[in-house]
Amino acid sequence: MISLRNIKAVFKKEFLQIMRDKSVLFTNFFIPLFGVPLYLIFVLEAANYTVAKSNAPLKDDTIFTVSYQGELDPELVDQLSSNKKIELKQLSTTLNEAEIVDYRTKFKAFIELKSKGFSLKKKIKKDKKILKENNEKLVKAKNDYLSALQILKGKYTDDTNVHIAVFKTDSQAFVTYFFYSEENIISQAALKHTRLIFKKYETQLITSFKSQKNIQEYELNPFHFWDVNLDQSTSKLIKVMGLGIGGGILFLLLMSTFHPTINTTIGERDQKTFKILLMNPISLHEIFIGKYLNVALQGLLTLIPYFIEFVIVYAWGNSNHLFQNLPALTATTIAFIIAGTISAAIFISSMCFLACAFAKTKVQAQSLITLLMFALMIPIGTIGAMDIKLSSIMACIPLINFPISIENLLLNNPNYIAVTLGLFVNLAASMVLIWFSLGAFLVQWKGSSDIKSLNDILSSKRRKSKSLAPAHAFLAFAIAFLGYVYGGYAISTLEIDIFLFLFSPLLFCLGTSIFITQYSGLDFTKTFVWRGADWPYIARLIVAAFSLSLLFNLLLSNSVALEMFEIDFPVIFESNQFASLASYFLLFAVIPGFSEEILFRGIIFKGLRSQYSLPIAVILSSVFFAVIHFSMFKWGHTFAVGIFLAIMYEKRGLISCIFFHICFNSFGLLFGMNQDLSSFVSGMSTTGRLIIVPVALVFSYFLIVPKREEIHSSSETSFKEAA
Amino acid sequence: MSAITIKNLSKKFQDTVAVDDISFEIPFGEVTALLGSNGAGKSTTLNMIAGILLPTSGTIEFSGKTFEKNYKEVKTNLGYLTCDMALYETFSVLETLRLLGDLKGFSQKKTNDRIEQLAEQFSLGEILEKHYSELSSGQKQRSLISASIIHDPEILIFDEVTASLDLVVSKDIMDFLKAEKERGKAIIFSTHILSEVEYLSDRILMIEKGILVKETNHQELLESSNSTNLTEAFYKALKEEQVAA
Repeated sequence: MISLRNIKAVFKKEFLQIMRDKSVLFTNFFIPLFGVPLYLIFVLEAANYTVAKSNAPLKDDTIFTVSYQGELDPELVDQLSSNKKIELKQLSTTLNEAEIVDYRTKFKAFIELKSKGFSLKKKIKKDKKILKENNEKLVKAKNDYLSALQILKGKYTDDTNVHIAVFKTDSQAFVTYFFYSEENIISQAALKHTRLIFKKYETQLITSFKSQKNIQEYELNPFHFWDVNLDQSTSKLIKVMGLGIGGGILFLLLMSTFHPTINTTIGERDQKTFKILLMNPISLHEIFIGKYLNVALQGLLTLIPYFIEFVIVYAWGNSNHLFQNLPALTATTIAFIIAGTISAAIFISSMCFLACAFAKTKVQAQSLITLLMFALMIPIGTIGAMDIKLSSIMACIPLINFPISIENLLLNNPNYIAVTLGLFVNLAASMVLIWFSLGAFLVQWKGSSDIKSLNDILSSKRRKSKSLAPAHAFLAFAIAFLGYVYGGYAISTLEIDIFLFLFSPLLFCLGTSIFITQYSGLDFTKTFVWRGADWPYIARLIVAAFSLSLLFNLLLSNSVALEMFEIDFPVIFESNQFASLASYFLLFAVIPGFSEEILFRGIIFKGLRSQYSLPIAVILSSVFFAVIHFSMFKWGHTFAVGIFLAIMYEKRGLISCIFFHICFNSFGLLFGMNQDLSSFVSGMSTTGRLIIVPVALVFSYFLIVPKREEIHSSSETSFKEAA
Repeated sequence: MSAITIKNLSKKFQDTVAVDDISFEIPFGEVTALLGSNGAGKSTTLNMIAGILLPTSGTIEFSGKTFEKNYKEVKTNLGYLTCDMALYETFSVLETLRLLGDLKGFSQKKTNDRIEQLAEQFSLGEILEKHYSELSSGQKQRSLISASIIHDPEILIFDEVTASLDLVVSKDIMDFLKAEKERGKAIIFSTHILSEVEYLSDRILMIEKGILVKETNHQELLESSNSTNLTEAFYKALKEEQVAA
C-alpha cells in the first residue's frame, strides 16, 4: 500500500533540497523573474516599433512618386494624377532604367543559368569549351544582376520618396513594382495608399470587361504586384529573436534544470544519504513517486516563463490572430501555457528519470540526459534543411505536441475528429513514455525480482571519476549542434546574412570550448601542441590531405564543392577575384579548421578519451563530427576524416589536426573552383576511380598515422620540450 | 526469543558469492561482533539484515517477523549505521531529524520530544541548527547516530562506524552501545579495531570469504589459540582458516 504521507515527506525533502541549490535560484527564479521579462520587453518594443511603423498614416504634406513606363490607360493616369499625394512620372526607356526594370528577369536568368550550368557540367564532362562559354554567360548574368541591384538601391530608396513603378506588359495585364524599404515609414503607407487606387481601377476594369463580354464569371487579374523588399524584414527578425534566442534560453534552462534534478535523484547515492532514506519504513515506490513529482514541478517552474514568452512572440509574429480573433488567441495562449508547460514538465521529468534509471553515476546521468536532449535537437535541426515548420517537428514529439493539437483545434483546424484522434494518439504515446521511464527506473532500483540492482547502486565498485569530462564532451557537442542548427536555420529560411551562417558555428564552437574549459577544468589550450613536428611530417600531411580530398571528390562526383557555390555570397566577394578567393579560403578552410578542431578534438575527443577506450572515443567523436555536417552525402567522408583526425590528435596533438583540416578543406575548394581540376575529376573513368580510391585511402592512412617507433620518439621529444 | 534469527543466508553478486550459507542467532541484551578481513562479507550480511539488500536465498526473522510480511513493523525496529553514511548537506540536523521522524510515522510532538531526548543524550544543543556540512567529524558522528536511532529501535546494526574516527569519539560510541545493551537491546556490529571487540562484545562471529568460520567469544578465542591478546588470537585463527581452506 502506498502511503501519501511518505510521498509527501519525500516530496517536501526533495523540494527543499532543490530550492536550496544556488544554481536553481538562478535558473528558476532569476532568469524567469528578471532575464525573461527584460528580454520580452526588448522583443515587444521591437515588435511595437515595427507595427507602429507599418501602420503610420501619411502626413498631409507627403508626396511620393509613382513612376511608369510605356503607355498606360488614360483612366488610370487620371486617377493617379488626381490624387494629391502622388506625383506621376513617366520613365524614359534609356538603358539604365530598362536594366532596373528588367532586373528581376535578369536575376531569374542568372538563377536558371546557374543551375543549367552545373547540370551541364555533369552531363558534358569532357567538353571544356562549352563549359567555359557557359561559365562566361553565368558570370555576365551575375554581374548584370548585381549592378542592377546597386542602381536600384541608389535610385529607388531614399528617405523622402517611394517609387512605385507601373509597367504595362501586354494589352491585358500590368506589372507594378513597389520599391520600398521597411525602414521607410512613408513607403509602407504610400504602398497602401497606391494599392487602394490600383484596386479601385482594377475593379472598374473588371466590371467593364465583364459587361463588354457579357459574362458573369471570369477570372481576371490585370495587376501583378511585386513587392521588392530591399531591406531585411523586421518581423522576421522578431521571429528569430523570439524562437531562436528563446530556444537557446530554453535549452540552457533545461540543461540547468537537469543538473540539480539529477543531483537529488542519482546524487543521493554519491552523497551517501540514500541509506538514511532506505532505513525508514518507506517503499521504493514511495521514494520514487515523491522524487518524480518534484522533478516534474521543477520542470514546470522552469518552463512557464518560456512558454509565456513563446506565446507572446508567436502572437506578435502572426499579428492577424491578435486583432482578428482575440477570444481564440486568448484561449490558445492559456491552453498553450497550461498544456504546454504541464506536458513538457512531464516529458522532462520522464527524460530525467530515464537517464537516472540507466546511469550508475551522476556523470553518466548527465551524459545521458545531454544525449536525450540531442536526440530532441535532431528533428529540430531538420527545420532549416528541409523547410519544415517548427510546429510540424514539435508535433512528432510526444507530450510536447499537446498544445499544438489544442491550438489547431482552436484556431486553424476545423476538423475536430482528426484533432481529437491526434490528441488521443499523443496521449497514448505520452503514456508509453512515462510508463517506460517509470518502469526503467524501478527496474534499475529494485531489480527484476528483488533489490538486486539496488545493491549494485549501493555497493558497486564503480569508477569514481573526478572528471566530468565525458559529460561535458556531450554537452559541448549539443551546444555546438544548436549553433550549427541555428546557422542553418538562419540561412535557409530567413535569408540572413551569410556571415551569421558561417560565424555562428565558429562562435558556438569557440564559446562552448571556453565555457567547457572554465567549467570542467578541461584545458584545451594545453592540447595546442604538435608532437614531433618536422618538415617530412608536414609534407606527408599535405600529401595526405590532397589525396583524401581527391578521393572524396571522386566518390561524391564533386558535389561537395558544388554545394559551396550554391550559397549566394554578398556583393563584396563577387567583385574582386582575390578577395573572393581569400574569403573562400578563410570561411571554408581556416575558420572550420580552427573552430572544429578545438571543439571536436580538443574538447569532445579529449573528454571522451578520459573515460573511454581509444576505439570508442575515436568512433564516437567521429560520429559527432559527421552528424554536425548535416548533409547525408557528407556523413561518410566526414566520419572517415574524423577517424583520421582523432588518431592524429592522440598521436601528434591539436596543431597537426588544425593544419591537416585546413589543407583538406583547401584542396576541396580547389577541386571545386578550378575548372580544369574539377573537369579532370568529374571526367575520370570508373576504372580510374576504382584504382585510385583504395590507394588514396591506404596511402593517407600510412601518411597520417605514424609508426610505433615514431610515436615513441616523438613523445620523448615532447617530454624534452616540456622539460 | 532471539532478536534476529538467520538461516542459510546467501548472497550472490553475478558470479561472486559474497555470503555463503550463513546461519546464526542474535539475542536481546547482547553485543555481537562481526570480524573478518576486508571483503569477507561482513557489510553484505549487515546490509541484508538491515533490509537494504535482498538475500539470494535464506531467511532473516526478527522475533518471528520478516520483511516480506511485516515490512513497516520490522523497519521501525531497526537502527542501522555505517561509516559511509551522511546526512543531507543542505539541511540542518534538526530538519533532517524531523524529516526522519515524519518518515517513521511519528507525530510532530513525538518527534520533537525524541529530538529533545537525543539532544540531551548526545549534547546536540548547538549542532541542531547547523548544516551537516558545517559540522566537525565528531559532531557529524553524533548527529548520524541520533538520526539512526531517532525511533529508538530494538535492534542496532553498526557497520564499521568507528573507522576513521578519533579515540575519544570512538569511546563515546562504544559507551553508548554498552548503555544500549544494558537496556536490553540486540546489537550487532562489525569493526577492525579489536580493542572495541574486547571492550564490548559478548560474542564474536568470524567471517571469511562469505563463510561463517567461527562462532566464539572473547575468552574462548584467547584460550583456543594460546594467545595473550585478541589481535594475536585473531591473527592466528585467520591463518588457521586460510591453511584449512
